[in-house]
Amino acid sequence: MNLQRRPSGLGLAAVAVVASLLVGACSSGPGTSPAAPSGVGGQTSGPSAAGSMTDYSNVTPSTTLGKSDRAQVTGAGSTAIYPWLSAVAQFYKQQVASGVSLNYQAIGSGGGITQFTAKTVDFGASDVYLSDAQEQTIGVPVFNVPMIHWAAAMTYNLPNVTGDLRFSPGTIAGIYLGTITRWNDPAIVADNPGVSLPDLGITVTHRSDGSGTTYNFTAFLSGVSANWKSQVGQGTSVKWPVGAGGKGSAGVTALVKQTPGAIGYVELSYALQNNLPVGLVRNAAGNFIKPTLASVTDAVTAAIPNAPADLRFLIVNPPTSYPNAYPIGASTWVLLYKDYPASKATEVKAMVDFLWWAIHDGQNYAAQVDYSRMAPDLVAKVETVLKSVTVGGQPVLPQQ
Amino acid sequence: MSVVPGQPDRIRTLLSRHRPRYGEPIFRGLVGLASLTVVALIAGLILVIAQQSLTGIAHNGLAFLGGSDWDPVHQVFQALPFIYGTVFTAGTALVLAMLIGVGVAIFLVDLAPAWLARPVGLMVEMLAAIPSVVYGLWGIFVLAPWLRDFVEVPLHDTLGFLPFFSGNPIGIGNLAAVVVLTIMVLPTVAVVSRDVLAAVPISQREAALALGATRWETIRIGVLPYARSGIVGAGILGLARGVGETMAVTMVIGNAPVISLSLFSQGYTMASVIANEFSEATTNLYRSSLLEIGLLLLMVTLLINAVARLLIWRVAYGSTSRSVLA
Repeated sequence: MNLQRRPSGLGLAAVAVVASLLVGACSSGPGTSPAAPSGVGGQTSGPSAAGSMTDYSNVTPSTTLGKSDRAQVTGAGSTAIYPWLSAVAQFYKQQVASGVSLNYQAIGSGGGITQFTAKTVDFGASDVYLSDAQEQTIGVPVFNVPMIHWAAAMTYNLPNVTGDLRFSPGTIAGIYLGTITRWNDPAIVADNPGVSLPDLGITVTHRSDGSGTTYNFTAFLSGVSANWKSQVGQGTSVKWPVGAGGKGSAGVTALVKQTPGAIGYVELSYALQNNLPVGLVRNAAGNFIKPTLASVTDAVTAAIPNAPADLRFLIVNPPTSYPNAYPIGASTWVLLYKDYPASKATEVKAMVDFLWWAIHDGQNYAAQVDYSRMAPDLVAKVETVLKSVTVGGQPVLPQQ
Repeated sequence: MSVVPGQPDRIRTLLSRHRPRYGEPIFRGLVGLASLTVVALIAGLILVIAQQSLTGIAHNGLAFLGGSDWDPVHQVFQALPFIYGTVFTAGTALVLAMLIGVGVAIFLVDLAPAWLARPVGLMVEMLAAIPSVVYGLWGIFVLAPWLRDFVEVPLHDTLGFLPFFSGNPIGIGNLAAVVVLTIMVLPTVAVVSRDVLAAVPISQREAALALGATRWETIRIGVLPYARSGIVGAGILGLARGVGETMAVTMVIGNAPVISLSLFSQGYTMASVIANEFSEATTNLYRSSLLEIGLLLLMVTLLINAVARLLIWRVAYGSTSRSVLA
């Protein structure tokens, strides 16, 4: 596969924090564009590639931007979306519009929201959707568009224990509240019949930096444990009752790998790329689910029937009617203004075209960077949002 | 005024050339402007950070300095654990770095032969050139597991009844932070102390030797008292380095806002919490409170630097006309 794979999305994101990065700036010019990679469709990336192969290309609206048009779209925010965004932008540049480049600064969701509020970027990206108060501060109508989904995977270091451990939500809450302190605690034993668990203290680890993974992990715990909800709550950073903090998924992984008896949670793509042991988590339907790209997509599908029209919803703790949905899913939202000034027409056209491409053809590349496909039900909703984006009051996309 | 040796002709030519009258005021204006830029930068920095922390200062009040609850979810921001962690780790590291650093300085100036002093001095200076993230990576992958297996567990098993060695030794924590910081502060202390010791007039040493003092006695009665305030200045510069260090400490300290005497406990510093939480601080108050910590840290660092300057000026201008640092 000739896709530029990142060894770790996180390390790269860190680089991007320092330098504003011209995504795809180094790609080959028009004419030398390589053909689509052999793995189009994501089916080659393992059994986890989700969903059916739908050909979306026929619904792509006719684009006015061709190979000769130039536009630079600027965005800033979440580091989680960066590997996906950069990969998809690269392919978009190669295959659709070589003159369109994306300048995305992965400075973190907080910085993204700040820049989006100050209107210094064309779009923002955040691991937490905007609150009512934040939307009020911005002062103009905005859209929260869920673009990618991933998961918090439970990883652990237990020498001599083979096979995947199983965790019920209450057990994870107990461990992170500090009420379950040893690996042979009856609660863990009950989740794992037949596994001989050592009499070893549990070293709890968590992310020390503010992160969307923490936000969704704590949202999951708040949903399953009343104690957690009242004592700790959910946030990008919380007041952890116990444990040591590592900086980034890499920091947590280092802690877990070096400490026998440690447990932690990391971004799913990070766990997949580094072959970390990953635990199964019980969902509302009572099944122990392994975090995979497919089980995350299921969680998105499960959340959509109850999702509000403004698409501000979490995908943790899916309802019982979805037996294969992983309960600790996470999302990143792209933040758009409803209306852009007419002076921005070229950039906005390029941006909306790109996003449209990203939710259709671009989905074929998601699995290659270890992100799950967008659930088909969600694609329809995001289409509606993109069609409502206007420049100087005029819609950017053709309205059918 | 000193003259560059061997170049009297060049200087004579320069001085006898026709010189326009406005040269002097322009020069004065340019260098004045250059130094004003620095003043304006610092003033602007403090102003902006102070202004950005107003929301936090108004909401958090005095409890910000005295309370130990840091809970972004419930909008409670109290910074005592971070202040404590900074003081504890930087202070302990400073004591260790002073012991080693002053020893290195004495060796380099008074004991080592020239062929040894130069390369050793160079190596000490090189320690300062290693990026802190490298120290952090080394700390998390090499130092922490080693400390756990060969220092923390044995200490915990034998002296675990002492508060300093209580708790769960996992490698990551205060001790790892102190060790990494010591190594990072060491070059500052050693190099500045070396220059301070070298500035002590040779007559001091000769006088002591003439009275029949041994090597150690010479250093104790002739050199160290003379260099005392300069060495203190070196320590304070080192402290400023330790207080402001961010990346390496963040990677090895464990990032838990607890106040504990134990070296094995996880801790947190002011710089670390800013580095960790700033990028995803999505509410105004949250960001403002982090900036309030930044303001506090900035003031502490400025204060430390001011005191250091004062002490170094005292030793520099009190003894010779040569500035040891400039």
